[in-house]
Parts: sequence; structure tokens; C-alpha cells
Amino acid sequence: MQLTLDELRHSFARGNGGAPVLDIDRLVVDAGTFFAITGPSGSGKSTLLYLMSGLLKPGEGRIAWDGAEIGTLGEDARDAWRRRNAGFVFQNFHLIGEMTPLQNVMLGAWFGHWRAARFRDRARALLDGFGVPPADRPAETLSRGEQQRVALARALLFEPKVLFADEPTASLDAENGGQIAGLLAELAHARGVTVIAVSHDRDVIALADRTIRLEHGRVAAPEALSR
Amino acid sequence: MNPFPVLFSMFHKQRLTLALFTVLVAFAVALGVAVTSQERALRQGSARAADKFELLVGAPGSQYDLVLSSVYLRLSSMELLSPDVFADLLAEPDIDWAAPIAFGDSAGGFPVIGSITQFITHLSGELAEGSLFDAEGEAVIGADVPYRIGESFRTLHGAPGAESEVHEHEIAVVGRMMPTGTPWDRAIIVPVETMWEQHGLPNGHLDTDEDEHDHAEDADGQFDAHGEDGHDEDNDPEEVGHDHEHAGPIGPPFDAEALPGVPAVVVKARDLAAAYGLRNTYRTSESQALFPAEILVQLYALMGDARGIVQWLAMATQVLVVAAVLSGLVVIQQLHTTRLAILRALGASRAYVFVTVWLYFTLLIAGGAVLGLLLGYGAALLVSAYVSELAGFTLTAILGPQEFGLVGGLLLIGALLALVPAIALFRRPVVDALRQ
Repeated sequence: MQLTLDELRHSFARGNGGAPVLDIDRLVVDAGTFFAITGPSGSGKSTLLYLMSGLLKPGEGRIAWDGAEIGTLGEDARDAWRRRNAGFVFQNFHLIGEMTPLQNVMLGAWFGHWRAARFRDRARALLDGFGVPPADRPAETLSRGEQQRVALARALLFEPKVLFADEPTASLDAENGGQIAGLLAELAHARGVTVIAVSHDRDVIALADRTIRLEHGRVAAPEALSR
Repeated sequence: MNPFPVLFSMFHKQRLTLALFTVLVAFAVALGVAVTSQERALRQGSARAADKFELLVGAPGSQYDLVLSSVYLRLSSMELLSPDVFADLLAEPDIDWAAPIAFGDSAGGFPVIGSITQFITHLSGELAEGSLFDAEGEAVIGADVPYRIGESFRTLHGAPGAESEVHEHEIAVVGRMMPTGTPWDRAIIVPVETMWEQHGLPNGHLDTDEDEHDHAEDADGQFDAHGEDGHDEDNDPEEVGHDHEHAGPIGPPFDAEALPGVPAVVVKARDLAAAYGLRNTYRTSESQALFPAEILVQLYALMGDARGIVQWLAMATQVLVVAAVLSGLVVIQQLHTTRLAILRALGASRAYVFVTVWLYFTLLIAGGAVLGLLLGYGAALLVSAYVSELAGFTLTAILGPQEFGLVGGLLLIGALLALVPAIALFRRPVVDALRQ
């Protein structure tokens, strides 16, 4: 899916008196791109990710995926869009620790579909593909690298067209971080998934097709960091 | 949409804390359930015990004493109904029978009551074993009296716990009543003539009275449950035992001239209208007549007031406990905020989060309520067994609409209160939680 941002302004009235935390004139990310966002803390990286994914509604401007604007949708419609089109990976994995890896991957099926069981085979296949046994043990007992791979499998259950990753390697050691970065790149390049990753990780930046750096809510170096 | 896997994981994560909250709710509910079901059991049991006592006639005095002594065998010292009034009653055309209830003795810790066989048949229907007495010196025992058929015993003067002297005449058990679930299961019923004679009173039959005894000095017919009645035999050992040939007639018809006074008379009227008529007729300066039910209604009114207060207190306790538990859970719920935000990020709808949170609280309250219902019922059963032993009549605690209504009301309140955190989390911006 192609992302288009136009005249995007966003502010948190309570946070800084209404001054924009994001101010981006235009940004286009083509389908199948591994797109990285970097920048210092407080620069608006996560806010931009939340706006792109529909978790936040923009104050001004336009956010469109394949030409369909999501910024004007209501919250329930944005939830539905995310359910149909997007996957999410977080820095701290955010697995449900008491559930098995398989149950964690199945999570989206339970709140999105009545007949969740039909996704079970795909969930197993994803875990197999990422080298995580769907064993009947709590996810919290897995290694951190395994947990993030479970989180990645969870994000991919419905074959999303877009994957949002918020610091996906920040909690991992270099080896596991490198593996996850590689998987993200593979998703974009081999499967045509548009991957939007907020990251400071050099591996991620190195493998990304494009990287932007945000400073004070503005794109400071749009192309300089790109490959 | 299937919220249960997420719900179960939330329960599992805080299972000990939630178990504690559930038990707190359960105890609050159990209190209310036990109080209401026990009160009803007491009311039903006491009413059932009075079922067979259609109309009671006694000397003027306390209505409560008359009912408690006659129906529940909580024997107390009572004035005696005069022989004349008793004779008038026996002569009433509108009665099937009038059974004297003469008490004041005991044996083996069980009250000995003098009466007639019609009353035994009325109480028990068919006997469980043996036969009705057909002579003095015989007894039919209640279902819970541990004597065997054919076993003999001597009675003591005085009610159980206040016995003084031993009557010399042996009484033989000839029959056992079916269980009645009333205090009469612990009674020993002897011919009323035996009781009268043992207390030196005329025995209600002119022939035998003249032949066998000299009761002239007891012509006023008064004897008291704990009183110092004349026991002529006690002063004359030669007269004891053998003088009572137990060969005279027992039971009605009685001779008016040979009747002593009695503490109470149970009357079986021919029909309801006759019963009302007799009740009015014998409400005089010389006698009182009452339906035990009307006394029970007065007692229930008193109990009802107390029950109402206790019920409100129990309900208030439950609501407070539920509110306290929910408050605690809301704090705990904050721990789930990020998890629920993650679900939203993964595409869960607000409705999914709302339903999950609402079910989380509601199921906890429901679990506590159901557990409380069972605990309360168990407590009521235990208390019923204990009170049955004390009161002498069977109390059967059952769960009724009142208890289910109580639990249903609590569930409704809990479900409504659960809307508060559910709506709060429903409205909470996802990003705020994700940033935490």
C-alpha cells in the first residue's frame, strides 16, 4: 500500500500549549518499501507512527493509504482499517505472557473473527517459519528474540499490507536485532509489505529502503540517510 | 468476537487477588442468603408444626404460653382450664373430638403428655410400629424417642430439666408414631387418665375413679406442670403401683363429674365455620380459644420486621462489599490498560475492549454471587440442623425466589457498576496507554 501524507499538523493541546509536535508538508511511501523513521526522543517519531496507523487522528492534513484517507474516519472505522490492513510490532513485544506462542499469534483472530480456528494452521506455519515452537508453554518463558518473532508472527497473521514497527529491535541483542531487521526487510522486498519502522538501530536503518530523521516534529533529513 | 481467551488470561494473571475478591463477595452474599432462607425455614417449620393444632382452648392467660406449651412443647406453668368448661367443650355437637393435653412429667429427658388416641392418630396417621395404647400404663412414643416397643420406664414429676420425684407406676411402650417433623417426635404420649391419676386427680371416668381411687381432696381438679400437686400415693407405699389396675376405660367419653382441669385442649371441629364458632364461644372470662396460626402470624410480623432490617443490612453490606471490590479491581485494572491498548493497536474494536472489561468485572461479581449462594445455603442447612435440634421441629432451609432475587439484584448492581470501568477504558485514548 502506498502512503501519502499531505500538510500534516498535529499537536497535543495539553502537552505543549498547542504547538505542533508534527509538521510535515508532504511524504509519500511507496508500496513494498521498508521505511525507517529515526530521530531523537520527543521528535515525534512514535506520534507519526500512530497517525499513520490510525491510532491517532491528525489535527490537520491528510493521511491516505492507496488514496483512501483514514484521518477523517471515526475511531471504529480506523480500528477496522487497521484490522484489515495493518500489523503492529512493539519494542517490548507486548505479548500476553500467560498465553502460549500460538495463542498470542491467534489473538487478532479472536477479536476480529467468529471462526478463529480457521487461522490456526496459518498461525502454526508462521511460528514454524520464524523458528519458534508453538509449544504449550507461556510466551513469557521464551527468549526475547523468540518473543519478538512471536510478535512478528502475530502481526502477520492476516497477511497485512502494512506493518508498523515501533523500535522493534530496541529490546534485543545485536544478533536477534539483526535477525528481526532482516525479517522486516524480507517482508518488504519479498512479500511487498510496506514496512514503517521507528528505530535507532543501525541494522534497521542500513536495511531500510528509505529513512527520514525527525527533529522537533519536522523532517530534518529526508533523503540524506536513505540508501 | 471472542473475548474469553483474553479474559481468561486476565483472570489467570491475577488469580490470587481475584480469588480473594471473589471470596469477599461470596461471604457478603452468603450472609444475606443464610439470613433469608433460615428465617423462611423457621417460619415454615413452625407453621408446619402447628398445622395439626386447629383450635386450642385453655384457661385465660398468655396466648403465647398456650401455643408454645401445646404445639411446641415448650412447657411452662399454666393455669388449668376448669373441669366445667372442659366438660362443656366435650359436649359440643360441632366437634369431632377434643383432646386434653396434660403435661408436667417426663421420662428420659422427654416430655410425657397425657392425651387420647384420636389425637395420636391425628398427629401421626398410621403408627410406624406397634399399636395405640388401650389401657393405662401404656405409651405411644414419638419417632425420635429412643425407647423400644415393649420397653418400660418410670416417669418423673416435672418437665424435662426440672424433674423432682419419680412416679412409681411403670409405663410400657406399645407404639411409635411416624415422624411428624414437630416437637411431638420427642414426646411420650400416655392415656390422659394415667397422667391424671399419677397426679392424684379424678381420671375422667366415674366407675374407675370410685373403684380404684379416692381423689376427693382433688375435686377442684387443679394440677400444675411444676406445682405441688397432691400425690396421695407418694405418702402411702402400699397403694403405689398395684392399686392402679389399669383396667378401667380410657379415652372419651369422659364423665363430666369426674373431670379434672387440663392445661390445654386441642379441638378438631367438624368444619371451619364450627371452628370459628367455637373460638368465639370459648373466649370468655373462664377460657381462651385461639387458632395457633393467628399467634404465629403475630410472631411472624415481629420476625418480619426484624427480617426486613436484617435483609436491608445484608443487602447494604453486599453492595458496599461489591463497590469496595470493584474499586480495588479498578486499581488492578490499570495494570491491564496497556494490554488492552495493545489489543486496540492490533485491531481490536472499542466494543471488544468494552465487552472484555465489562465481562471481567461482571463475571467476578457473578462468581462471588454464585459461590455466596452456595455458601449461604450450606450455612442455612447447618443452622437449620442446629435450630431443629433446639426447637424440636424440623427446619428445612431451601433456596427460594427471595435468595435468587437477592443474588440477581446484586448481579444487576454489579453489572451496572462494571459499566463504569468498562466505559472508562472504552473512552481512554489508546495512544495514552501505549505511551505508558
